[in-house]
Amino acid sequence: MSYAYLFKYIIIGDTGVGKSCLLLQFTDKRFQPVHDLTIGVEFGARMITIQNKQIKLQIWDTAGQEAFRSITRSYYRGAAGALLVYDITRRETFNHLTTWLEDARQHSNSSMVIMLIGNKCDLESRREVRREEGEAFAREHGLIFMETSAKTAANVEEAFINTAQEIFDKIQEGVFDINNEANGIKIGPQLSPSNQKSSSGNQALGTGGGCC
Amino acid sequence: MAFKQRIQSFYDLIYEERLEVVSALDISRLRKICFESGCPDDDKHIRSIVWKILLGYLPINRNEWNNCLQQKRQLYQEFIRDLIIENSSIGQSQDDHPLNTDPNSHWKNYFRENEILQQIDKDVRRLYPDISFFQQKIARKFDSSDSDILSGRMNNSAHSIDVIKDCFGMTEIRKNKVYDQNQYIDPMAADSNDGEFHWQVVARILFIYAKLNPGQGYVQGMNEIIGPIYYVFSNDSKLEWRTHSEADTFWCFTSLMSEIRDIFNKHADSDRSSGIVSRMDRLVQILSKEDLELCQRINLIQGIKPHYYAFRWITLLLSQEFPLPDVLRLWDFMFSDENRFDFLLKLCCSMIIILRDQLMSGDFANNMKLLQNFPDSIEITFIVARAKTIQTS
Repeated sequence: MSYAYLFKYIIIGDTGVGKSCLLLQFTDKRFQPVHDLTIGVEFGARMITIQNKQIKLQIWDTAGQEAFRSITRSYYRGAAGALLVYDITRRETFNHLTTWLEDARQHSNSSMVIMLIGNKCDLESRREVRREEGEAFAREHGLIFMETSAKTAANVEEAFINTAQEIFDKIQEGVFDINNEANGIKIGPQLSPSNQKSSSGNQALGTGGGCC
Repeated sequence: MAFKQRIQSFYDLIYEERLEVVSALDISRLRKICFESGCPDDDKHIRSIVWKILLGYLPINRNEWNNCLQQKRQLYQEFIRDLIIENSSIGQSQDDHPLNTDPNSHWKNYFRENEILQQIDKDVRRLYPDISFFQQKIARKFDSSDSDILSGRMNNSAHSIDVIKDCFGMTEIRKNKVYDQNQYIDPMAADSNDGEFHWQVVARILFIYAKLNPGQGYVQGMNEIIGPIYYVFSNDSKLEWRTHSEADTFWCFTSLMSEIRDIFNKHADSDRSSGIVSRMDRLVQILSKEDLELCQRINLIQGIKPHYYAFRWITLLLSQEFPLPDVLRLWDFMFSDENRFDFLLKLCCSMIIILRDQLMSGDFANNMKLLQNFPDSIEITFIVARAKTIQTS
């Protein structure tokens, strides 16, 4: 299937905050209450539309435990967007955000768009982190913010799509160098001047970047 | 070979009468028959005993078994006593208090341990969700209420109470119960109202292991490796073995971990000689030798690096890729090979080659999904057979 752009995302955050469930809800539209532990990475892909353009999202869902951090770090490079997730019912997952953010900033390219996500917002009665605290953290660090529920699907589409919108806007503004694959963006086969027949645009990266 | 004959051949080998005299069992023959067709699933004792031998827990000298088992099981009880029961009576010193920041403070250690406990607790609740076994209760108790001390500590935190609600739709807090010290109730007599869940036993083993190996601690995924071992040992058809499934699992897990320690060591990740990275390199090497075209396509052209999929395969010894009964069979073959972790790589290589047609025509995303969600339509006997031909080539 042809697409205008391909964006790479990474999902990060403490173990058990619901990273894999967010991905599953976004790609498969289902919720799996007891999900296997993520060891290493899991991969998901989905097509979305932004301003009438087909965008393919490639999403890397990572293991949350500290012991896997050195593996996780290798995925930051080459990501255009990151979903940084905490669990609104567990204060410590919010407290660890600074470490995650430092890690992300240090190992990614500077223009990576980061979306802060307070997940499990369906569990209002067990809430430990107020919405305002999430908003304040996001404001302070220049992130987009949203509360989601992978269980009810609330805001899940929006979280992934708004991140893509922001990346798209940055491309229009010329902030992203779309010819540098390390930025996590590829031009799709339909836009690429060197439109090769095989391997569905995997190496096809032209110089034109003929977007609008 | 008919299955009854197969069962008999295992029994002959392990329980041969003359072993009482000559004592050493023929380990190479045992490896051979186990590597040929695995342990029979119909007999619930064979796999349990064979794994104990192959993992080096049971000595090959049959007349050493009793002593060895007695010692090891006793030692495990002592670990429980020292590391869980004694340890929970803290805060007796007048100078120590919960806000003490001294690294030697008992309270500080206590809180650090509670963090490990909560992590283990969360993970073991997610163990093999597709089978009910780990969510079942066993009625067996130790000769003290040690498990309650541990679960009491877990339950001190609001989080773990919440997790129970999530998984079982109910809240349960059990603390300070007093049990009859001599009471023994069979672990297979499941689902009484009393007693602990199987996953709680797994949690206790992991906690003891983490405390005894502080340099390594608890790493996610250890739960998935301990799971099948505990499952096999606690379903042993012989009561005298089943009774000690916890201690026996601890020792076999410890022995297995000593062989794969580097995979779980975060500092060894980048160590190219022994860690996970070198094992993944070796997998690519085997694949390129077996099927250069396929290897080049996925690894070089599509850029599907082995750590995108084989990281989990190798770290968890394939336990997350297949349903539990298949995992047990795969582990029969793996354990019976003397270079078992090299055979694991051959199994991995075989899994890739079996998907050849799809991988040669699929794009990056399709191939990634295929490798991360290995199709359950493929019989593991094919995977094993192909791995064996790689072994001999």
